[in-house]
Amino acid sequence: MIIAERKPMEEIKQLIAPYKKVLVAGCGTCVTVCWAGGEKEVAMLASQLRLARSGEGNEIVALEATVERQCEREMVAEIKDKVAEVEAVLSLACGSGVQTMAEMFEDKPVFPAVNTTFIGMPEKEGLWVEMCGACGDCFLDRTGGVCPIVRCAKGLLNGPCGGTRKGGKCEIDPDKDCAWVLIYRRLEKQGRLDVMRKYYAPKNYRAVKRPGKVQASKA
Amino acid sequence: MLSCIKEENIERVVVAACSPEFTEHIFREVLEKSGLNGHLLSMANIREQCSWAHEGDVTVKVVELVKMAVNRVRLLLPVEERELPVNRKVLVVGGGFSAINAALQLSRVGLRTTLLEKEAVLGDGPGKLESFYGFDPSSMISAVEGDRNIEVLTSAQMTTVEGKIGDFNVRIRKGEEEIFLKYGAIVLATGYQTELALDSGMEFSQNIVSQEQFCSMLRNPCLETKPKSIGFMLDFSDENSRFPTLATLYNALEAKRKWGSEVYVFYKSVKVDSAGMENLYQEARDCGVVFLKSETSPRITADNGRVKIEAKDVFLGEDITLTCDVLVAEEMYLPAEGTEKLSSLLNTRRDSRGFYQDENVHLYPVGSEKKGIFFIGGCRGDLDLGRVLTDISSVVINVHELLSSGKTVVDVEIVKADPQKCVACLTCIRVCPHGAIQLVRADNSKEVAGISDLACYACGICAAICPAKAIRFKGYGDDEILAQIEAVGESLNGRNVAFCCEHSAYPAADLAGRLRLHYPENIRVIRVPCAGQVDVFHILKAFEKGAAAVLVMGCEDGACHHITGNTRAKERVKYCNMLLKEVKVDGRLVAMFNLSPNAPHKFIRAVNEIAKISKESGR
Amino acid sequence: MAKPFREILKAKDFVVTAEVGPVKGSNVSKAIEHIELLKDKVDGLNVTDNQSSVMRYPSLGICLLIKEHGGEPVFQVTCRDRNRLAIQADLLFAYSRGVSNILCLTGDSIDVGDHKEAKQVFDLDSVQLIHLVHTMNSGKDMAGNELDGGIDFCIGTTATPSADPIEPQLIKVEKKLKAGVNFIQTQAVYELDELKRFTEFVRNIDEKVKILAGIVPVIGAKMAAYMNENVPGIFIPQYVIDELAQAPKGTGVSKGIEIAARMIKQIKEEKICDGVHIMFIGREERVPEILEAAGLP
Repeated sequence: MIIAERKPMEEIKQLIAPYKKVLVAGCGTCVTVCWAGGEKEVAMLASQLRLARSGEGNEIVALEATVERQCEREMVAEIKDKVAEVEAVLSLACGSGVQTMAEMFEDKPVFPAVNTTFIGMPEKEGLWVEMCGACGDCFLDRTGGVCPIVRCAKGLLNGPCGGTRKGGKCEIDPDKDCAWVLIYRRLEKQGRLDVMRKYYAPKNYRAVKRPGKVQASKA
Repeated sequence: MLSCIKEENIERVVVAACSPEFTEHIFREVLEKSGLNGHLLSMANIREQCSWAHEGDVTVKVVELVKMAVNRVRLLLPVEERELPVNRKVLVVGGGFSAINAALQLSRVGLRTTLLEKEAVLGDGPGKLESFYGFDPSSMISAVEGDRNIEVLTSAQMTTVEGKIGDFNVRIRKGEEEIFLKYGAIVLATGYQTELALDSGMEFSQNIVSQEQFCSMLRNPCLETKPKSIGFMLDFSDENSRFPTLATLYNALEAKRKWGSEVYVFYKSVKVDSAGMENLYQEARDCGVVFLKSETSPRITADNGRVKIEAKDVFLGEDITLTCDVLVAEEMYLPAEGTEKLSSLLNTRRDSRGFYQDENVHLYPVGSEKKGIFFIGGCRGDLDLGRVLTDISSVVINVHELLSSGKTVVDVEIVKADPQKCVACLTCIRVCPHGAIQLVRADNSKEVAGISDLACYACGICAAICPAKAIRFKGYGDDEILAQIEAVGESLNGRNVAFCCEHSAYPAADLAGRLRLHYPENIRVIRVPCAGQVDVFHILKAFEKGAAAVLVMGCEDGACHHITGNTRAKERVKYCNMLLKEVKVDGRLVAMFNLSPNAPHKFIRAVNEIAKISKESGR
Repeated sequence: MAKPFREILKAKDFVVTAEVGPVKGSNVSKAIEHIELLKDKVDGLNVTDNQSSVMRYPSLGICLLIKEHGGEPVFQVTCRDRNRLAIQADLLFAYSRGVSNILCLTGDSIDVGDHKEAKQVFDLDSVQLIHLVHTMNSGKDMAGNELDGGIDFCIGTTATPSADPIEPQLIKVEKKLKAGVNFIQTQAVYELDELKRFTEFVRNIDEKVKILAGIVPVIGAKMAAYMNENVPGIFIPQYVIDELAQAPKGTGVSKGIEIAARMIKQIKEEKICDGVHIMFIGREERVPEILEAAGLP
C-alpha cells in the first residue's frame, strides 16, 4: 500500500503558523497501516501542536477528524462541518487524499503533514520497504517477482551494474540488497535463469502518460 | 455496602480506602451479590499510596484521587462471564522419561493424552538422567502401552500448530500419512542432547568416552578389559553442572565398586545442591575416589593408547600428571535436535542457551508465554531429577485445572477489536506476546483482528499500539485513562503523573506506604495492567492536560509479565522525548523506570527524581 | 595521425590504453598537456564521462581535442545523464568529427557524486546502449528511421571480474558479448587468477573480443581502504593493502606504480589477456613511469 512519513515538526509548524484554528485530518486506510496518519497519529500531532503553540503563548485550536479514505469525495464530505469551522486543514493523508480534500474545500488552504514516499509493504514490524514503481508496464514475470524499476537504484533492465558491493549489496547503500542479485537468486531457485539471460530492450517510459488516467470498463 | 447499593439504586461504586491489590476482588464480589456487575467498581488508593506515604495533611490529594476514580467509574462498562468449551485431550511431545511420566500422571487424573515421538520407539538410552536413580524405562513403557487413556504415535512429528488453548489444531505427519488432531493443551518434553566438550581435536574413542558410553561399559557383562584407572572431568566447560556431578559421582562409585579401579575426578567445583548429592559425594570419597581440584581445564593428550591428563592441583599447589586407561570427558548439555524448529512452529521464544523456556521468571516453572503450552524436563535446560519430577507434577496440576471440566469460564471481550474501525493492519496480531489474536471474518465478511477471550491476558499492549484506535480495553482504555488524566489536570499545576504497572511499580508503591516511607505528595498514580499498555498518545495527552512531568514504570528487564511490555514502554518513552523536544518541551520530563514489586526504594527514587526535574524545568 | 583503434585491436598482440580525466571547468590546458604526454605512448586514450557522477568538462570535448592533437580517443558514454535522444545525437556528432571508438557504460549512481539532488536518467542501460550503437551502425535510429549519414563505431564495454557474487555479473557480460562488442576494458584487477577465470569465461562465448585488464595503481593503504568502501566496482585484496602499509612514508606513489607495473608484466608474459587499460586519474603525468617499469612498449 501507499507508505508515507510525517514531515518534520518545524515544517508543519511553519505551514500553520498564521492560523489559530485548524483541523488535523487523518485517513483510515494506507497511512493508518503504516503508522503515519491514522486516528492515533492525528491525536498525537494535535496534542503536540497544542503543546507547542501554548508554549509560545500563541494558542491554537486543533480539531481532529479521521475519515475512512481521504481520497473518496463521499467520505471526505462527512467532515465538511468540521472543515467549515476552521481556517486551514492539516492533512495526514497521502498526496491523493490531500488533493481530494483541497478540491472538496476549495476555499480552505489544505496542507500536507506527511510526505508520501512509495508503494510498499512491511518487511517486519514498523519497517516498510518500497516495492512497486507504478510504471504502468509491469514485467515482474521476467524478474522473479522483484521489481528493478524501484528496487534497483538505477532502474536497470539488464542488470546488475558493475558497482554491486561484496555480498550482493547495492552500490549506493550497503544495507540494501542489489535487486539484480535478488532476481538472480529467485530465478535460480525456480530454474528459470534463461529468463535473465535474455536481452530486454529499452523500456517504454511513457506507458503511463502523466497525469495518468484509467477508465475501467463499464459494468 | 450491600444494603446501601440495593436501597439507593446505585449504578457505580467508588471505594476510597486501601490498595486494590488485595481487596479489589472482595469488593467486586460485594457488587455481584448486590446485583451489580463486579467491574463497575473503581478504587481510590488513599491509604498505602496517600495517608501512609506522605507527611502532613493529605486532604487535597485524597480529594484528587477520589475525583480520578469517579471520572473513571463513569466510563466503566460491565464485563460478563461465559463458559467456553475446551478440548480435554493433551498432546505430549516426546518419548522419554519426562514425557512418559507426564502422560501416565495425566491419565491418572482422567485426561486423555497422545504421546508423540519422532523416533520409532519410546524410551531413552542408558546414561540419561533418570537411570541414575534406578528408574527402569521398560516398566514405564509397558505401563503406557497398557493405558487406555494414552495414545502412542511413534515415527511421527508435528508439522503445523494453529489455534489456542482449549482448541489447538495440530497437523501430524507419520510416514506418508497426515493426521489432523485437536488438543486442549500441548506439553513439550523433548529432552536434550550432549556434545563432547573437549577442545583441540579430541574425539570420542575407545579411551575417551561420554557418560552414556561409560554407563554402557559398566552394564556390559562381556566387557573385555576392565579399565584399571579412570579419569573424570567435571565442571570446567559448563557452569550448569548439576547433572554432570550426579553422573560423575554415580559412575565413579559404580566403577570403584564393580571393577575396583582407581578413579580420579578432576574438577573445578563439585556442586552438590540437589537431593542426595552431598551423601553421594561423601560415599564416593569414603570409597576411595580421588578428587583433584584445578582452576583451569586440564590438558589432555593421547599417550600410547592411554590418556594423559595434566593439571595444576589447587591444594597441592603442584602440577600433576596422570595417565589413565579411560577418560570420561565433559559434555555440554544442549537443546535436543529440532528444538529451534518446534519453537518456531509454536511461535514461542527460547532462552539464551536455546532451550525452550524463556528466562522470564513469570513463566516458571513450566509455562510458556502462551496459555496452554508447557515445557517439562530436560528440554527446559534444567537437569535435575528432583526438578523434573516437580515439573511433571506442576504441569499435571496446571493442565488439569485448565481442562478437566471440559469447560472454562472466561471474561467476555475485555479487550476487543471493533470490526468497523479495524483496518487489518496486522500490527496487534504480530505484537501480542501471548499469541492471542488472529484474523477472523466479521459479520460483513471483512477480515479483522479477533482477540481470543481464552488466550488473552488483558495486558493491553495491542490496544496501545493499534494505529486505528480500534481496540477497546474495558477498564483501561483510552477513555478511562484520559478521564483520570483530566481529573489531575483540573487541579493546580505541579502534578506529576505516574503510569504504574500493576505487577511492579504499583505494588512497590503500596509497599512504600506500608513501610511508612515518605515521598513527595504531588505524584498521581494511574494503575495500568502493563507498562506496554501506556502509549505515546497517553503521555502527550497527560502533558496537554497540565501534567508537569510523566513517569512510566514497569518491570525490570527480562521480567515483564507480558514479555515485551516494558521494552515497548522504554522505546515509546524515548520517542516521546523526541516529540516533546520538537515542541520545545524538556524531553527529560518523561522518563521510564524499571523496578520489581519488592523495591519500594526504587519507586521513591523515581518519584523524587522526576519531582526534581519538573521543578528545575519550572513547571 | 594515430592508427584507428579497431585496426590496432586486430593487429597487435598486447594493446595498451590509458585514461584522461577532464577537469571541472572550461580550462583545457591540463588536458592538452596529458594528451601530448600520452598520445604516442598508448594505442588509445579513454576520456571519462562525468566520472563518479561529478560534473566535469564533457568526454566528447576532450575526445575532439585528442583528435586535433593526433591521438586516438575512446569516447566513454554513460547512461546516467542523457536519455536516448541525447545519446543518439551525441553519437552522430562524435562520428562526424572523427571519433569512432565508444565505451558503453551504465554509469555510477548520482549518490556518489557532487550533485546529489539531480535526477538520474538511466533511460538505457549499458547492454541497451550496445544494441543502440549496432542499430545506428546499420544506418537506422532507435525508432527505426533511416539516417542520412550513418556511423560506424568500434564498440567496447566494461566488466567487473571481482564482483561478489559473480554469477549475475557474468550473465550480464554474456548479454553484452551476444550483443556484440569489439573490446572489454575491465574494472581494476589485482588478483590474476580471477582475471584468468574471467578471460576463460569470455573466450568460451566469444573468441574474438579483446580483453584489456584494468590497472588502477593504489598509492597507499588508506586510499585502498577508502576505495574499497566508496568506489563502486573496486575490490582491493588485503595482501595488497598490507604491502602498501609496509612501504616507507612518502613512497606510496612509487610503491603503487611498482605493484601495477609488476602486474602488467605478468599479464603480458603469461599472455593472460590481450592488453591493459591504465587508469591513474589525477596523476596522468606518471603513467609513462608505469609503462616504462612494465617494459612497454
